[in-house]
Amino acid sequence: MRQLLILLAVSLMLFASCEHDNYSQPESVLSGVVHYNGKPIHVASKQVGMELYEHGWDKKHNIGINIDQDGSYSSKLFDGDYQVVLTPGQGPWKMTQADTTEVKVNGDTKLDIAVEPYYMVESANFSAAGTTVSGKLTLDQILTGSDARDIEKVFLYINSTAFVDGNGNNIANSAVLGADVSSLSDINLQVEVPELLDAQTYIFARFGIKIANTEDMLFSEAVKLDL
Amino acid sequence: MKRYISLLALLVVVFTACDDDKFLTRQPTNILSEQAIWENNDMAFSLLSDLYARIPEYQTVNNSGSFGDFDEAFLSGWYGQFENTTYGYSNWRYWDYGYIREINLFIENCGKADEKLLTDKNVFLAEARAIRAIVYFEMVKRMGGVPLILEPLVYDFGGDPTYLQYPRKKEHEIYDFIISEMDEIKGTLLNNWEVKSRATKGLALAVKCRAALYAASIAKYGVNTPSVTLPGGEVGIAASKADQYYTTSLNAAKELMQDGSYDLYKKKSDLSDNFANIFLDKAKNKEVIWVRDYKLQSGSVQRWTQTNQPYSMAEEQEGGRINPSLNLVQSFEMLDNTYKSFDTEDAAGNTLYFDEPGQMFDGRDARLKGTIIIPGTFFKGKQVDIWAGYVLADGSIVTGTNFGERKTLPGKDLPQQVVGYDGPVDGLEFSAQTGFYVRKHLDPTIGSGERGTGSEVWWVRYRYGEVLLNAAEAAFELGQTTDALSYINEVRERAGFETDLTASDLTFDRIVHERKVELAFEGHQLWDMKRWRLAHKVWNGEQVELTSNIGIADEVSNRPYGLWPYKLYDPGNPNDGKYLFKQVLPSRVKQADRFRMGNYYSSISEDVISKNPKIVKNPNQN
Repeated sequence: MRQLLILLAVSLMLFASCEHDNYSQPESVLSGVVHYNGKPIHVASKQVGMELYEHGWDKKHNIGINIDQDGSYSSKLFDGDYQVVLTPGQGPWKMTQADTTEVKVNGDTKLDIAVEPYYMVESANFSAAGTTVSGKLTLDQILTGSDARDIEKVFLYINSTAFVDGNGNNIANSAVLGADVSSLSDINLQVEVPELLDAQTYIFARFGIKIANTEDMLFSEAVKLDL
Repeated sequence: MKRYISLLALLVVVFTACDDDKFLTRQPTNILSEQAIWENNDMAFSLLSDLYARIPEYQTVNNSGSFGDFDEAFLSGWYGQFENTTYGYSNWRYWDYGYIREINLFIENCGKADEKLLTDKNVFLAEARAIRAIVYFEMVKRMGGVPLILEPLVYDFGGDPTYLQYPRKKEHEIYDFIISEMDEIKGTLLNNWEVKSRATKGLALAVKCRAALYAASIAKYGVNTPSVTLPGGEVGIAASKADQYYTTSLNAAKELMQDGSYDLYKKKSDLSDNFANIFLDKAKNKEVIWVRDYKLQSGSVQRWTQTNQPYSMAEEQEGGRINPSLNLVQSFEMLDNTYKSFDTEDAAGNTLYFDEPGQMFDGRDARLKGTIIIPGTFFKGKQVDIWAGYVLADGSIVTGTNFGERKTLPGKDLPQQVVGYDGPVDGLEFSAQTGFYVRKHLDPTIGSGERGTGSEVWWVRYRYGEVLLNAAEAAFELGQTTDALSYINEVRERAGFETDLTASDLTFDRIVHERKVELAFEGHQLWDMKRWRLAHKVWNGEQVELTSNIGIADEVSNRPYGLWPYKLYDPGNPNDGKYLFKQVLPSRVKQADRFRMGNYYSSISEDVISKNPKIVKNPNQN
C-alpha cells in the first residue's frame, strides 16, 4: 500500500510539476511575397534569404528565412517587433538601404516586400511536342542607366518535380548566352526531355535568367506540361 | 606515569616533526611551474613545439577526404561531396583566439625570461611570432580581416567587457602585419636550410612572398567580384595597392633566391621519380622550406599511404580513396608546350588502340607520372592493375563487379579475369573509379600502408618550387616578363620541357595552369582560386561536359571525370588484346561543385557576433 502511494506521489510529481517553465509554441505567421509592382519575383528555392532580428535580447542571432521559388516566404513567430532584412548581395535585385523593414507581428501578419529587380519576366510560354519542350520568354528591363546589368545567360530548365532551378533541380537544360540574345521580347529555347522514371507523363519547366555580377538567377513561374 | 610518557612523546613528535618549512613549501613533482619552464631551453622548446603542432591545416596528408572538395579528385567510397556540392557559408571557418592567446602568453612570458638561463630566448621569441603571423595568415585567407590581438587579454571582472571587444581589422592590415612581422624576425630566426620543421629565415621570406602575393591578387582581381567587399575594408583590398604588394612579393622571392640556400630538387635522373621524391626525401632536400614532420614509432605518423595506396597491393583492407580526375590529368601538357585532350578516337571516328595502357599518357609533362599513378605504372615494385573490362567485337562490354572478377568470354571454356585488381568498377569502394590513383606523398616504404605503422613522409607546407611560381606571377603582373619567364621556365625545365616559354606564351592563364599542375594535391587550390576570384566561375554549379579548352583559367571544371582503359576481345582482329579508352563520369557524381559569392570569406559564427557586437558579418551570406 505504501509503495503504491509513493508511486502515485512520484507520478503526480512527474506529470504535474513542470508546467511552470514551459513556453507555448509560436503561433503567429508572418508571410508575404517579394515583388515588383505587385508581381512576385520568382527565384531558386532555398537560395535567397531574409533575416529577421528581434532586438533587445542578449543574443544577436537572426531568424533565417529562405524565400520560396515563387517569391513567397512565411515563418511562424512569437508576437513582437521584428526587423526584416533581405540578405545583402542575394537575389536578382538591386540592394538599397530601404531593404530593412520594421514589422510588428501580432497574430497572422502580411508583409510584402517591394524590391527593384534588374529584369522582370513579362511572359513565359511553354509547349511540349513529342520529347521536345519549347519555351518563349519575354523580359522587361527594369533598371537602366548606371544600375543596368547585362544578361549573362538564359536557361530553360525542366525537372520531374515542381522544384525547378539550376542547383541540381533539373533533369535537362539548354541555354543561350546573353550576348546572343537580340531581342528581350523574343528569347526562344528548346530542350529534349530525357527518359523519365515510372513512365511519368508530365514535367515542369521554367526559364532562369543569369544576370551579370548577380549570383541568384531570376526565374519565370514553374509550369506543368503534359507530354 | 606511562600515560605521561606517551603524552610527552606525542608532544615531542607533534611539535618537532614539522618545523621544517620545506615540508609545506615543497615543489610538486608532477606539475611544472611557470618559472621552471623559462629557465631551461628544453622546457621552453617543448612548449613551443606544442604551439607548432596546433597550426591549422585544411588539405593535408591526414585529411585525404578534403582533396575531393573541388575538381582535383574523386573519392572512392566517400561520395557525399559529389552528391551535395554547394559549399556551406561556414565551410573553412577558422576563428581560434584561444590559440592566439596562448601564443601571446608565450611571447609575453618568454620576453620576461632571463637570457642567461634561457639562452635561446630570442630565437624562441621570433619563432612564436612566426607562428602567430602564420595563424593570422590562416585566419585572413579564410575570414578576411580579423581582430588583431597581440597580447594576452585579461578580464577585470568589472562587469563590463567592452574594452575586450576588438573590431575587425581591414583585410590588408592583417596582410601588412604578416609582412612586417616576417621582416622583423627574419634576422633572428635560425638561418639554417637543413631545419625543416621549425621557422627559419627561409620560411620568413617564403611566408612574406606568399602573403604579399595573396594580398596583391585580391587587390587586382577583387574588381571582378564587386559584391565581395565590405564598406569598412574588412573584406577586399583597394586595387591601387596591387602593384605595391606584387613588388613586395617579388622582392621577398628574390631575397630567398639570392640567399642561395634553397634550390629545386634534382637528384634523380628519371624526372617523374624526381618529382615524386621532392616530398619523400628527408636527407639534404634543398627544395623543401617548411614542413609538418612525422616520425615512425613516435605516435606522430600520417595515414596518406594507408588511405590512398593502390588496392591491389594494399597492406590493409583499404586504400585507393583519392582518384585524381581526368580534369587534372589532361591538364598536364605535351612536351612541346601544347595542351591536348586524351583522344580515344582518331579524326575519322575510329577507335584508337594501344599495346600498353601507359602509351596513352606518353610524351607529357613528367610531373604527370610523378603526381598520379596511371594505368600500368609501378608502385612498391608491383604494377597497378587498372582496366575496366573487355570490349567485344560488337561493342558490348564484359566486366565484373568486384576486383579481378573472372568470367568466361564467348568462345572460351574457362573463366578468366575480366577487370583489373584495382578496378575501375563504378561505385566500388577503393577501386580507381576515375582510372587513376594518386602518387604524390605516397610512401614507398614497406609497412607505410599498415594501420599499425603509418608513414613518416612529411607534409610540405612551403617549398622552393612554389616560391619560383610566386615570383613568376608577381613579375608577370608587374610587366617584368623576362624575369617572369626565367622563373617559370626554371620550374618547367625540371618537369622535362626542353622548349622554353616565350613572352607571347606567358599569360595569366599560363600562370594559373602552371600552379595547377605543379602544386596539385599540396593544398593550394582553394586559396589560389579564391584570391584570383575564379572560384565562382570554375565551380559554378552548372553541369557541363569535360572541357577541351585546357589551360583556360576560368573554364568550368566542377565534376571529376575519369578515363577507363578496356581490352579488346576480338580473336582474329589485329587489335585483339590491345587497349582502348573511354571517358566516363563516375555515376556517384550527382551534382556539380557550386561556389557562391558568400563562400569567398567564411561566415563568422553568430556566437562570436553576439559576444562582440563590433564584429561585422561577411558579405553575401545568410
